[in-house]
Formats: sequence, structure tokens, C-alpha cells
Amino acid sequence: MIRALHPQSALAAFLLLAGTLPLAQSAPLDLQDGDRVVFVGGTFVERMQQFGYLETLLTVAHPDKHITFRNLGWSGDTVWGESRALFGTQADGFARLIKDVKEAKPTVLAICYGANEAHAGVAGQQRFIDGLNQLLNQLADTKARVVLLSPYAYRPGPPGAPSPEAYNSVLKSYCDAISKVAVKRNAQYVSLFDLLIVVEENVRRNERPVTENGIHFTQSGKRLAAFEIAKRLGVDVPELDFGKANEHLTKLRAAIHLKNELYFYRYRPQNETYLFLFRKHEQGNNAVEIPQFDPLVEEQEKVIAKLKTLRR
Amino acid sequence: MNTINLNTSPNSVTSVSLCFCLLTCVLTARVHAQRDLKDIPDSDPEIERSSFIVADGFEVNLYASDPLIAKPIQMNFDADGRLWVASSTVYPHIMPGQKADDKVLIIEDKDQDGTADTTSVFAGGLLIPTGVIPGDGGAYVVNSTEVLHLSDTDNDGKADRRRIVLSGFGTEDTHHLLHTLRWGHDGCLYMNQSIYIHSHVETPYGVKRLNGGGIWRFRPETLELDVLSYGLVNPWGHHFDAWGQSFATDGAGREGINYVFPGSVFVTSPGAKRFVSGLNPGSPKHCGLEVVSGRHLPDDWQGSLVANDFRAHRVCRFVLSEDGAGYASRQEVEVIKSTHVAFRPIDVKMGPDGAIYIADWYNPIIQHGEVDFRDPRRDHVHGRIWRVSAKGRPAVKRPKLTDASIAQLLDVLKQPEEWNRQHAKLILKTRDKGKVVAALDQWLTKLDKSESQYEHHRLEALWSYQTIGGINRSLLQELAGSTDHRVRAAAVRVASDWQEQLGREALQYYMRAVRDEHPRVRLEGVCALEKIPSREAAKAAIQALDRPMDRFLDFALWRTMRELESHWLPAVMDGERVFDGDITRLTFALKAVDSPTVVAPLLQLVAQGKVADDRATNVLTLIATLGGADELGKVFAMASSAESKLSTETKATLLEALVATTIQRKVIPAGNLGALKELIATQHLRLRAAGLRAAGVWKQESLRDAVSNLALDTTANRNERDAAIDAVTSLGGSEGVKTLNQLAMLDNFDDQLRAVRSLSVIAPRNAAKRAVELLGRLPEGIDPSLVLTVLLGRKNGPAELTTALADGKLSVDAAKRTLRAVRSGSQQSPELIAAIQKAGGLSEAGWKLTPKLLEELVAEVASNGNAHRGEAIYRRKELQCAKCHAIAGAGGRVGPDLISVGASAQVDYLVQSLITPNSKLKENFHSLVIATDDGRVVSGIPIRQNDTEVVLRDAEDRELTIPTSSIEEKKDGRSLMPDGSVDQLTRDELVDLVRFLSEVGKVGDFAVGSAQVVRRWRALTWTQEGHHRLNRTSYDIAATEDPALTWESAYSRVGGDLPLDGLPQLKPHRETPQTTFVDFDLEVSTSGAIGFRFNSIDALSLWVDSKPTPLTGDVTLELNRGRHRLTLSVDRESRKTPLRVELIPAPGSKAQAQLVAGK
Repeated sequence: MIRALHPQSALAAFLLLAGTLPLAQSAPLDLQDGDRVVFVGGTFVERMQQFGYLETLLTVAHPDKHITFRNLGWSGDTVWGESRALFGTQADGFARLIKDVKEAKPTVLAICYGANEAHAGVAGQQRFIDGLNQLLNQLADTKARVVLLSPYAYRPGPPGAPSPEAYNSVLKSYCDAISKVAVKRNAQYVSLFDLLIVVEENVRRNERPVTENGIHFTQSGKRLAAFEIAKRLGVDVPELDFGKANEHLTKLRAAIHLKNELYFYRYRPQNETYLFLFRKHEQGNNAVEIPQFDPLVEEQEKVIAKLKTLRR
Repeated sequence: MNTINLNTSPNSVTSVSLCFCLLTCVLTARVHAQRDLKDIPDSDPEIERSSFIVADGFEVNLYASDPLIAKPIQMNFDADGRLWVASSTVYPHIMPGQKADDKVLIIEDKDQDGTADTTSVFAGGLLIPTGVIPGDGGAYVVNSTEVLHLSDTDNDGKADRRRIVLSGFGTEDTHHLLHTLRWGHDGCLYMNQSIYIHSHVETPYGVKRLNGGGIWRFRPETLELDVLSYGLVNPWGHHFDAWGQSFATDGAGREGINYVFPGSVFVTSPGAKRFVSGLNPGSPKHCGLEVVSGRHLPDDWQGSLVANDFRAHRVCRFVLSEDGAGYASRQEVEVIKSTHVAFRPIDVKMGPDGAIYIADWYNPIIQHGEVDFRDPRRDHVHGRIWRVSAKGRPAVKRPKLTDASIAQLLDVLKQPEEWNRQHAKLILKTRDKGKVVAALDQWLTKLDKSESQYEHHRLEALWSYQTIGGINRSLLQELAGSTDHRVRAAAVRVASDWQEQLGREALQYYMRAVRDEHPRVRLEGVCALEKIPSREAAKAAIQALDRPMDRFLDFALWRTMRELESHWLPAVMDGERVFDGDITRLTFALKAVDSPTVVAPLLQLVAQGKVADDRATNVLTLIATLGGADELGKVFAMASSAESKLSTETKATLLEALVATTIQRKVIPAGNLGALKELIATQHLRLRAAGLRAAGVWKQESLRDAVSNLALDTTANRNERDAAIDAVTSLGGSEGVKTLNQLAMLDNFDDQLRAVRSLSVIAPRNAAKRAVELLGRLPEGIDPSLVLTVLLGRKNGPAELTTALADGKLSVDAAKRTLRAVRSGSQQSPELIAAIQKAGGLSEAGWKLTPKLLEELVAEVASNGNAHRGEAIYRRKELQCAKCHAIAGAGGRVGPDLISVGASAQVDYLVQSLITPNSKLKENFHSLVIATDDGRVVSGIPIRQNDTEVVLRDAEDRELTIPTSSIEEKKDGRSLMPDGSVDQLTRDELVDLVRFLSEVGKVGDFAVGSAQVVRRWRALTWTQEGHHRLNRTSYDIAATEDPALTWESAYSRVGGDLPLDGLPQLKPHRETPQTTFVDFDLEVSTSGAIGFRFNSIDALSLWVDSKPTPLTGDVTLELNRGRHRLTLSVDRESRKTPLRVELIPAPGSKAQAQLVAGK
């Protein structure tokens, strides 16, 4: 993939654009025994399900604690739950978002929105912030600790794609606004604004690109990003080699992937039209199968717990 | 049929003719697990193959088969001739504990003998992969929510690299998942999604969202993702012709081939206000589509479209011809037809050897909505690929493309096989761009101008530049001026793709296209302009109106003007001169916008006298429909002014529109409405009636006495009184109830009936009492629905009726018929049904379907059922099946078309559908029940829903428009087919009926062939008035739209002939024979000669568009664009042979016509 800017010079440009990068503004993520971390956001979050690096890192970083994760990322989603509306209105999408989060019983809520909303430009910022606040208000009764992950700046895409410059400068403004929401709400704010650029910087030695479209991470990108995110969350992560040689870690990550897959079948099943919506008179009887994924998820979590404690 | 014209339908200003019998027969066609295990066939491929009836000159051989090829969903060849297949055993739904391990397979015919030698697994671990297409060094694979690119980097034949290319595709239905991957002539990857899918895809260009069906266009190199067209229920087939025009099939629509152009919108696209319809209305549903070409196939097959009718086990062929901006499509003899119940052709592709390949999903059970996911009889293990070849014609030598030089690849672009050209272009993409450009430039200079395919070769070159991401301005310019309109049209499409690079120049191409002499080039111009957000573009597009329009162009221009609205409408609002001050253009544009914003400018145009008289009605009606109170007031002033130069008819039309607006949107014209007093006294009946209704809905208390008196005046004209009764109802209040009660006391049934219906709206309790009383003494032949529909459609109607029935008594017959009426109503009330049964002393009514009975019936259908007797039962008037169901387009549209019901539905399923219609429902036939803020409850099948209105098709096949603002509650409803529809049938009759339905669409007597036979007729009914009119004039009057004549629908048998028995006869004079008059309509889209073939002309006379026309055998008529009517009289005393009329192509004629189908 052709890059318009060398990552290093891009980083310099970013720093210029960003002024000083905001650091974590509150206490680091202090995961407790029994915590249930729920992630919500767009494609960036959704793809964590299959790569599982961040979840793996957070799991092995707390070998003595039982921490579980639920990933509710949905491509193209926004604070208004736009991607979750299915046949309904945006309000239905939002209601679905709230319902799904609550059913996941979070004690820690990691929210990463803003990337898709920022396409609306500066003019859309207030609406986004209002939406974010509304989302947090609606979820306040979960009593979960909130972590606001900022979206990250894009890199140049393939030839023909618009330069990300204008988008990134808007995004910067969105990120600042998210950090203010975090301060006001006493939530942890984690800036990922320069995540892609930093990760790209780190990959120089490596052949594989960290992004192929300038907006999403590849698998190796996800791996590098996971270390960076964990660090910024304030989690003390051990040096880990995710190479194939590290069979144990490979197994753990595969177990996490499988758990996420099972949970995906549970929370976002295919054929919803027939199982739960307006054609449920046809296949509604099979909706009983869907909760049957719950014990399978739990079983898989036991496998994860075992692999985690056997680690060292 | 007894028909009562009843003008007093409260809350409606139009007269509605309510049928005497509301018993509907909405059969829900669908497939179902079969209980008759004998139906599961032997899976031996040879047994299946021997069942094939193959087109003359062709043969079929087994190319590849199970065990490895289990459930093939999509297949595509790579440039080396290997066939890639996506297969899923997980479908329809992953089971808890099951591992998602669906596969992509590669099938190879190494020795090129037409049978596969190896099948290998390229990738596993997939979840219901619904699409696969090789390309870019691997294959694109749809894996539910994502499009993956899988590749094999170590050459071991297995994918080892996996990239997520796009994600965010919906999964609301697993047979709707992203599918039909297809490389375009332009190097883009096209992908389709179906009706229930909602997709949200993040790209470097922003988030792309598509709700409902549509065709995506994706360029992998730049990651641009756009939507080519919207809608279609299951667009499971998409391909391009040699000139880059797109066609699509629909696995649930019923219009055969659809012509797809940029921005076209088809059925079921959410929020759409208008749809483009397909080219073969009344067709069964299709899956897959391939435009076939190449030296292996005979000349008359070049450019044919092959698509699968998987329900009826057929592989069909269509032939296209030019028709204005679009095309006409005619079905040819099938490529394959079969009686084998598991033969499910679902994909079709040309192969590297020039033969046609068919993917056979092999399953006795199709679809998954209506059949239990876990039905044990679902086949999860079989699948076949069949190869169809022309006997005695050599196979095309498989081209060696992968290692070919650029020069060799370019020469492939001259070959007649689209397969070869397509793959050559894709390989060019992988070569050094600079070298390809240089070679292309060179190649162009060497082309032989005298060669017949010269223009096409150049077009391939243009597409090659496009495919590799290059540009060639001079070639574009030359092709935009080509002598071949197909090349010019394609050039405009390319210019649209190159818009950014072309800059200002692009607009010149589109402007020139809009003025082109060929309508398709104009269409491309109009579509391209839609993407240029400027007033200049709008101004250029609207010039398309200067030349003849057709339905495709009209749609495109309508859409372009809407999309560009913000660039020209504000200027109109500011009083600027736009569109060169051309009123035709301006009114088209304003009407396209169809929003209240256009009302003010339109009104101004009218006030300035700029709107020609012949357009005034149209424009003013639009204002009356969309305007606010002030504008409505102005229209009223015009409609009521004595000085206005508007005709009285126009005034009436406007007043009716105003009344409708008040009912729909509750807006009352502002200003002085005093003129109504004169209007209700005018001489003109229609204007007077409209005035009366206006007095009601506008609550003119001062006119109440006049209105009430008229309502009760039995000497006055019926239509006028009906309007007055409506007005009394609208005025309401205790005064209104009093008047209606007086009406109910009049000594005639018509008035009593009207009183009950009107009271239902304003005094339902009162109405319910009177209704029960009326039901007890219903005159012969009058259906209780007439009495009850309004009441049953009110929120508390069923409850009131239940109460009123508590002490009432009904005769057994009245109770039975009342039950039927209630079951057809919009609200289902078990209490009411119980009350009716009690009042009528009915015991358990009708069929009670037990597993045992079902089993017995299924067996009897096989052993004793007679399909011919069954067809006669189906056609019985009292069953009214055709009122809701069409067969091949002829009949109602409330329920599914039954054209292939026998081939898709199992016998037990048909029995259940008839006896308990609501147990399962066909896709797209789910009703909605809507409660409105004026106390009505309506139900129907949603046709369109957008932010302003919901349009339902009710059980009467009427379109009801409900403004979103008036909806209080909306919920999913039941089948519109009432329970008990077949209660009156004996067991033998039921068995025959089922036997008939089980044969429709199967190979045999009840298959709908490819001939264009007249299936939908109208027959003149005997009425006193009509008889009188015929008696006083001549037979010629029957060929005119004389209001004294009453017509009823008649339908040909499935086989295509119209039996004369049962058709109404008239005998206008003592000396004339008993005569039947029938007519049919056809819509001509391209003028010219059209042939009509009669099975026999004995005792027939013909009128064409009212003109007597000699009939000496088959006739050929010169018909112009537009609708035409052919009327026939049949001397019944000398003719007994049924009537059969077929459209046949006239030699050398370019004419295109479509028989008008419907109810």
C-alpha cells in the first residue's frame, strides 16, 4: 500500500496538530477480581473479537483475578446506536445498544465512539457530545466504571481516497471534547488519537503493514495496538511474544476468540428476523437455542481461566 | 357477480364497489417440511440427470458432485478454469455447540473433458459463506458480516492469509446475506444484498450504509464502495451484457429480468417513494443470472439471459430486445426442466470451455423461513455442478491467460466469449500499469476500422483503462460520439466514473448525452448528472423532457431532480427564472420533489396564468394534495369562483382533492368557505357531491340542515345522497346520529345499510345493534361484509358487535356468512367469533386439522386428487381465489402469485395453507395492522413505507395510504387470508383443489409456458342498465368505456385458454344470439406491428381501441406506444371452443408490448 507520508514525518505533523497529547487524566484502569469489562464502539472494537490481543493482554496481566470480557463492537456504529437499528428507527438502535450493554452486566464500560460521527465535521461535534452524554446517562445505573477511549487519527488510504488530514483535524477536536466529558463525569479518558501512527512507527522492522486501508488495523496492527492501548490504560503488561512458537499464548488467544464467537452468536444471532422479530411466528420456537450459548460461553471462560493461571 | 355500487363509504370520497362476497382465498404459498417421506428422492446423480428435459440441441452432464460439494451457494471460475465454490452445511443457522466450518472449494477439470477431476478444500472455518469469487491473487469470500480476501502464499492449495476487506454487513436472515459477487466489465467487484439486510461499512470515504436490498459496487484498489441500485427482495442474480448494461433477477420478486441502471430503485427498498418494475411481470422467482455468449453456443443463444427457477426445477432462458431507454424481455424454451424435487439450480455461469454450468443446491426443502431450521429432512450433504453443452458443437479452447503477454491479453478482448474478455481485463490489472497503458494505446491504433466489431473492441479498450485505474480522454471522446448508441451509452457511464479526473469536461459529456437521439444515452446522461451537485446539472438533466420519455427515463429524471433538489428549488422559491422559464420542465421538477415546499411556486405559476390549461388540473391537484391551509384556501377559491376559467369537471376534481387532503392530513382550507353554499346547489352532479362532502369534513354547521334534508330525501339522486350521508357522518354530533337513525328507519335496505355503515363511525354501539338486526334479514345475495366492514374496522367495533350479539339470533346461514366477514376483517376477535357461533347455533365449524387428517388428505391427494377438477374448483366464483392470487400475473396481488406453487410447496403444506392460513406466511406477505388517530383499524400488506406515509394493500387489493402522523399504533398482523376459506368444500373437492395447486408450475399440464397468452380478461356482465344500453345502441358500445356497462374480471386457465362456460351472456335483441363480450389490454412500449394468434376465430368479432376490425385469421396490428384494448364478441350459440389469444412477434417488427395483468 502506498503511503503519502512517512510515519515519522506524519507523527511530527500530528504532534504539531495535537499540541501536547493529552495523557490519561484519571487513575489507571485498576481491574478487580470479578470485573466484567464491556467494550462498545465501531469496527475498531468489533474486530478485537477475532484478534483478541488486548483481551489476552488484560487477561494475563491479572493472573490472580477473574475478569471477563464482552465485546459489543458493531461496524459503523455511533453513540446513537445507528448500526443496531435493524428494521427500526435510530431510537430503536439506541435502545438495542442500551439493552445489550445492560444485559452484558458491565462493571467496567470501555466506550470508543467518535470515529464515524466525526465525518459530520465540526458542525456535528455538539450533537455527538450530546449523544455521548445521553449514552452515559442511560448507562449510569449499571454503576460501571467508565473508560472513554478516544478514536484514532486515520492514515492516508489507497490512491484515490481522500486525504485524512481534514478528517483528523476534526477528530482532534472531537477527542478533546470527549476528554472534557471524561473530566466532568470522572471517567477515565484514554487518548488513542495517535494510536495508528505510533503503531505504524513501531512496525518499521516488520514487513507486515499495520493498516491496509488507512482506517483499520490489520492483524499485526491489532497486536501492536493492543500493547499500546494496555499501556495507556495504565495496565502493567508483561513482555509477550505472540509468535506461533508460543503455543500456550496461541491457545489462550484462540480460546478467547472462540469465546467471543460464541458470545457473538448469543448477542447478535443471525436470522433475528425469524427468531425474534416479525417472522418469529415461523422460527420463534428455535429462539430457545440462543440462550443455550450462555453455558458454552461460560465453559469457554473456564478454559480461558485455566490457560491464564497455567501461564508462568 | 352481484355488485352493489355503494357510495357511502364513510371517510372515503371515491366510490368503492364492494364485492358481494368477501370470502377471500389468500393462499400463502410456501414450502414446508414434507411429511410424505416417499417424496425424498434417491440422491443418485444419474437418477436426477435422467429427469432433465433439456432444450433441443443441448445435453447435460455431471461436472462435479457430492460428497465434497455439499450445498453449493455461489460459484465462479478463475482465469485458469478452476471453479471456486462456496458451500455451507451450517445453513440455515448455527447450532449451539456446532463449529462453524463451512468451506470454499476448488474444482478442477485438469484434462478438460468436461468433468471435474479433483475437488479440494481451499478454506474452512467459515460461517455460511454466501459468495466467493477469485481475484487479486486469492479469492473474495463473504463470511456473514464480512468480506474476506483469502490467499494461498505457500502454494499448497490452502488459504493461509486472511484479510478483512470490508465488514458490517447485516445477518438478519441467512439467505439474504451479502451474495452474488461479480466482477464488472469496469474492473469493479459487484455484490448484492437482500431485503432484510442492514449494512454499515466503514471505508476511507466515510461510513456507507445500505438498508434493504441493493447492489453494491466496490473497487478493491481504491476501496471505493457505492450503491449501484436499491431494492429487490432477493437480487440473487446480476450480470452485464456485452455493452455493460446491468440486469438482475429476484428470488422473491415476480417480474423476471430487471433492467438495472445507476440509481434505479426496485420493490421493497425502504423509504422509497417510487419503484422501477421488471421486464417480465407475472414471472416466477429466479436465482442466478448469466448473459451467455461465445462460439460454443448457437447464434440465436448469443446474449440470452439464463436464470434459474429453483422452485419449479427449471433453468430458464430469456431473450432481450431494445425498448426505448430500456429493454423488453421474452422467455424462451427452458434450458432444463425437471420433475426431480431436489433439483435446485441456484447459480449459473459460463465456463472456460464455453459451456453453461449450473450449481444445483440439491434439496427437497428450500428456504428457511417457513421450514423449521432443525427439520431433519433438510439436506445438508448433497450438491452438484451440471454442465450444459450444445450437442455437436466443439468446446471453446480454454484460453491460457495467466501467463499470457499483455499483447496476447489485449487480443483476447476481441474474442466473442465474455468469459475470456473479462478474465483478460482482470489479469491486465495485475500487470505493470505503465506497460499496459502503452500496449493499449498501441493496440488501438492497429484495430481494423472496417471490422464489424470495431466499436466493441474500442469499448473493451476503454473498459480496460477503467479496470487498471487509468484514463484515456481521447478514446472516451471518440466513443461518446460513436455511431453505435450502445457504445455511446457505455461511454457516458465511464465518463461518470471518471468525473473527478475529467473535471468540467465531464459535464459536457452528460449534457450532450441528454440531447442524444437514443433514449438509453439520454438515460445515462440523466443518471450521471444526478451525481453532480449543481443547478447546472439539474438544468441539463431536465432537458431530457424535450425528447420522448419512457418509464425508465421518467424514473431517472424524477430521481435526479429529487437528488438535486437543494440546487434548484431554492432558486425557484426566490422567484428566479430557472430551467429557462420552461413551464413543462418546471412543473416536472416541482412534481418530482413532491413536498409541500413546491406548493408556493406552483401556485404562483398558476396565478400568473403560466400553466397551460391542459396541465392546470394536474398542477392544482398537486397543490391541493400537498399544500397548507392557505394554499388550500386559494385552490378552493379557484374551484368555487364563478369567474374561474376552469372547467366544471376540473373544479370537481380539485374539490375532491381538497376533501381527500382534509381527511388525510386534517388541514382545512383557510379563508372564506361561504361559496360552498352555492356549490352544493350547482347543477353539476359531481361538483355538487364534492361540495356536500366538503361541507361535512370542513364542519360547515350552517349547511347541516340542507345536508341532512338531502340525506333523507329518497327522491334525490343516489350519488348525491351518498355524498350528503357522508357529510352528515363527518358533521357528526347528536344531530348527526339523529339524522342517521332517521335514515335507518327508511323503508329500504340500501338506506338502512348506509345508516349502519355511517353510524359505525360516530355511534358504534348504536350501529352494532342495527347491524345485528339487519344481518337477521339480509336480502338474498348480499354479503354481511357490506354491513360490517366499517364497524369491524373501528377500534371498539368488534367489542360492540359482540355485546350486541349477546341476545341476538342469526340463522345458520347468516351466521356462517357473518363469520366469514369477521375473519376477513382487520381485527381478529375470538370473543366475536364465539358470539356469532352462539347466535347462529353453530357447532364446531369447518375443517379441524389434526395430524391424522393431514396424513389422510396428503395420501388422498396423491391417490384420488384430480388436478383438472381442482382447477375448476379454484376458479369457482364463491371461493374467490383469483381475487387475491394471480397465476402468472393474472389475478389479485393480495397474496403470492401461484405460478410455481406446486413446484415449491409440498402437499401437506398446501393443505395447511388452505385450512390454517396463518400458521406460516410467505416473505413479503406479512400484514401490518395500523390503528389511526381517527379511530380506524386497517390491515394490509405494506407496499411502501417512508417517513411520511405507509402504503398498504388491503384484502380488497386496494392501496391504502396512511400518513405516518395519523398512526397511533402499528403492529404485525396475520395472514390476510381468512380462516375457513375452504370450509364449504367437501373432502373430495378439497383433495382436488390441493391436487391442482400441487401441479401448478410443475412440468405437465399446469406449467406456465413461455408463450405470451392473454390470461387476464374482462367480461361484460348482465345488468339492466347495460342491457338497455346495448339494446338502444349497437355492439360497438361494448368496445367503449361506457359508464352504463359493468365488467367483471375473468382469467384464463393455467394452460392459457379461457373457457366460455360461466362467462356472462347478453342478448340485446330477440333476434340476436346469446353473446359474450370480453376484452383485454396491452401496453405497447415501442410502437410497431404486433401479431395476435387466435386458437379459432369462429364466431368472434374484434374491436381494436373501439374500432371494428376485420378478423380473418391471425391479425397483425400497427400499434403506437401506450395502452390499447382489444374487445371480442363471442356468439355463444355457435361457439363452444374456449378462447385463446397469444401475442406473437410480427416479422421484422421492433414493437414491444406487454399484456396488462392484475386483478
